[in-house]
Amino acid sequence: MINPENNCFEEIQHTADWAIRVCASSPEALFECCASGMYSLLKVKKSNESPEIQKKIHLQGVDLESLLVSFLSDLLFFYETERVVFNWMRLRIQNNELDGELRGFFIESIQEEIKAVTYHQMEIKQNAKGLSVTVVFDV
Amino acid sequence: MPNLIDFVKISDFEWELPVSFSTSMSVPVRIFATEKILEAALVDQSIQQAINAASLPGVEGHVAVMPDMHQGYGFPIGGVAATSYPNGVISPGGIGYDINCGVRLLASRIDVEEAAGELSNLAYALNHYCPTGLGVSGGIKLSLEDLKQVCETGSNWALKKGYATQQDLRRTEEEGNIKGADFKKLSERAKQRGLPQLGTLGSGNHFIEVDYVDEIFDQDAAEVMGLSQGKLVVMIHCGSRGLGHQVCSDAVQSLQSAVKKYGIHLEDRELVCAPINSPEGKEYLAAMRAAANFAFCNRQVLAHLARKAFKSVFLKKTKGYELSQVYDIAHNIGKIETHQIDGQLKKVCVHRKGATRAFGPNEIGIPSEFAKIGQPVLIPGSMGTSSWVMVGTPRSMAVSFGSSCHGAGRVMSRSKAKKTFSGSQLRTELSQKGIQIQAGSLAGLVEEAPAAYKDVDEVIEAVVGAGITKKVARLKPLVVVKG
Repeated sequence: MINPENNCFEEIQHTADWAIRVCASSPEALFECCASGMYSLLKVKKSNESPEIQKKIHLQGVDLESLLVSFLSDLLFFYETERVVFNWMRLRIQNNELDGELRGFFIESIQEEIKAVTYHQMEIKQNAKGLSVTVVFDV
Repeated sequence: MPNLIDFVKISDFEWELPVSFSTSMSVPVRIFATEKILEAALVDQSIQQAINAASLPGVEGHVAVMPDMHQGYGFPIGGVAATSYPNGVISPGGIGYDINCGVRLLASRIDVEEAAGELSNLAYALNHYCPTGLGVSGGIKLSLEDLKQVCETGSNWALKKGYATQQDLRRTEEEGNIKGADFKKLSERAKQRGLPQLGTLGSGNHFIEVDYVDEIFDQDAAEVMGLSQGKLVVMIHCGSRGLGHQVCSDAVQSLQSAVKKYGIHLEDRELVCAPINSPEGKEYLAAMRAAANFAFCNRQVLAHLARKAFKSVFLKKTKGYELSQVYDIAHNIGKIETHQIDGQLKKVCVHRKGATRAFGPNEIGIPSEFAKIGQPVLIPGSMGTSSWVMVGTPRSMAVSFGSSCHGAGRVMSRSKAKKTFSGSQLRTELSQKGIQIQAGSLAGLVEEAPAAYKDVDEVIEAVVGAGITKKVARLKPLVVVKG
């Protein structure tokens, strides 16, 4: 699984939904860690027969947070409709645009379901160690 | 964050947080709860989220919060906010991702004793006929034209296909067809997600439950609804599936720039919104209505499949297995309605997020047979506990925009529930109570453990105490089918 920076996400308590707190050194690493955290909640399991799947994405946002919501929502869409998850990513983020090269695999079955990625309390914060964000998922 | 002393006590079941509490609030927050429920709610962000909703542009009267409240995202679950129409805003986050998540109740004439030996078969049959589970497709095969008809005409599509009766439609909120839906406003992704999912239950807290009528509190109202003591009923809880989730996601994303365009300040970005009469607001309203119609039709098709399951089990054993519709009601939706606010009749957009419409007697929009008793309000409890059939009252029209609670309301996170309870133990406990379970996964079952929710009976006492709904019947579960 992708995990460019070890222990870069942790699950935090939410009464009804799921939430993760993510820390990373750069926007690209933060996005990858958020994807990794989301896949961890979804408990993805690779199908034995899966060939490697490749995909290129281009996304635009009004700011870094909207770009993150778009990115994770794209991954959720591929998960639900194509049953594909990505364990290798090369992301480039500049001027609120993201170009991504993704490689991954088909999953065996859907173990968990997330309805959507929300903006609730989402703010990408800069600190001495890098960047941090909390992502709340509607389940 | 407010404390109990910040609230003005109106009665034992009604509390108000005045606008003076926060400079961001345009209207007060009115909580319908016992002191115990209100105090418990202060530990999470439900009240703060209601305060944030009370700052939306054009919000009218007050923000109402039901006793099943809990923290959501943006709005609290159990929240009702009315915004001025057409100049106020519409907020997709105030309706939720599962647009027109709701509840349908069907009544049979089968006596609980008669069914006792068949419950296991019934659980199996319902699970077999009704596609359930995670990301499940396997619904009715639709063409793109079918999907368009479903989204623009709701349950009428099911009627044309033979999956519904006239009574089903008459006894559905908006007769299962909200006008003003526009299929063209759906993204390709929303259509793609909706195509394989009509007639599917999904996962999470969605379920099909067979209950029996345990006690009747209002004989006249029960009779009008077709409910009799000791008879089996079926409750279906689900929504608009991936199509609705995508409609909300698309809108929350696209409106991020609209708030800048219209100079709207937000306390939480999940409350993103646009003026109802703006191009962005109209676009979302039309797409949201299309998703709501998909949900009405989804529950209709599931009702058709449940009827097949009942027939397969009971055809040669007993009469009265036909399921007649009691009512179908949304609890995540935005509706344009007229309400008495500050002494004036005003047209508003009522956002109900985890709140059920509860119109009182003689109100426009309820079936003629319910005119005297008020609109049926369907309130499922947590798994394995009671559910309730209620009716709306004149007081709900006066104080809660014709709304009431929608369930028990969570108190424990899903991850904590998984750590606290064991799936096999829970299954055994439910089985010891005589409840048959068909569940897609033990993990999913544990997330819905009854102890992860408030006591639904306490929630019911609060809405009854506040006068916003009246009891008609209490239901007890026999069979639970979950994704």
